[in-house]
Amino acid sequence: MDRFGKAAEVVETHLVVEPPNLQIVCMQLWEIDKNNPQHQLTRAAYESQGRARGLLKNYFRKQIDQFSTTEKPLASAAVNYLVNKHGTKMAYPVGDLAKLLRVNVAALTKTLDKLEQARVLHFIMSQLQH
Amino acid sequence: MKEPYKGLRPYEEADQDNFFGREVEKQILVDKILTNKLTLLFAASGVGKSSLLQAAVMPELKRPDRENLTVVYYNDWVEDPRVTLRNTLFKLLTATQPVSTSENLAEITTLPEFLRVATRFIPNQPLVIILDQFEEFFNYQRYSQYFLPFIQQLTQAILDHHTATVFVIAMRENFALELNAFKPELPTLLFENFYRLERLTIDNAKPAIVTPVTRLGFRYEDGLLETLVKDLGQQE
Repeated sequence: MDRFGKAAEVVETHLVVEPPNLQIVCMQLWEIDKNNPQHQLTRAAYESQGRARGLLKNYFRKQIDQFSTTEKPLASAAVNYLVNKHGTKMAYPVGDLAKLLRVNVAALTKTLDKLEQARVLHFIMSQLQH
Repeated sequence: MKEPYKGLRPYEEADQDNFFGREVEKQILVDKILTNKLTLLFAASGVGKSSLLQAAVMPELKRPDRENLTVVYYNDWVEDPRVTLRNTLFKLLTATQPVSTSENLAEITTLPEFLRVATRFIPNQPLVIILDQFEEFFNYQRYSQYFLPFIQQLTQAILDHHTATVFVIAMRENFALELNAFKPELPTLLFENFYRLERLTIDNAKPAIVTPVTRLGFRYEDGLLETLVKDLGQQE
């Protein structure tokens, strides 16, 4: 709100785009329309997915769904150690992290591999910083 | 069909023909690298330092019709970097040009000495050494026995103006103060020449969105691009 109580408008010339957001959104639009015979990425597809916000949510839902119910709490706990609340990445040898989390190394390694494959850690860090 | 977007993986050298929206940044960085012994590249996480370096800066520096330089890209900070960086340099040099065995390059253990000898074998100078994700060096090695010796060797190599090398240190900006570890040896040189990579402007985002699909014969429906960049610009 400005000093007259009017909602401040976003000045479009100052907008900036997070490259990971761009990639996630465009990648999904491409997946939806890549077989479109008119070779066009369509507004209808974009709107149907809830626009940029919806596509970002879809992406994360899919990544989280890859984890089993037992893996989800482990992934969450591991992320808490690997990324602090300020978004700073902390390095731990897998063995040390397994001890801190009181889990076996194999289970932790499997979960970390999934996080890495989804590049979730990297993205969480980038989001935490803004 | 080829995928137009990389998702959350960084763009690599092989992706150079599919990397768009960073033309100005590429040119600024190349100019800085070619005119300074040390260039620092900072950015927030996820802004695209590694992609810019690998898919734009490195190919430009290597272009046969331009500088045609030898470029080493290094980002592995888990082991002793005195050993692994030297091994990476050795592999690259022996793979790309004939290296005289009489120099016993493989037996040289310190980085400054290795570079002094190695640069004799590169066809065009300087040798460009890109140390990416340098924050990982602090993450992994801060309390290790390798920390100070590596800093000492790297500093000596940077200060060696008789050897035709230039260095790029790229790291997340929230780790910038960690570079204080170099201050005793590099009190002024360290921050003389740095570049902060920003997130994509709307104008830069447009080619990054459109050109990859245009190359595959696709287009964004009229009006969609404008809506998309505006929406992306409002995402936090």
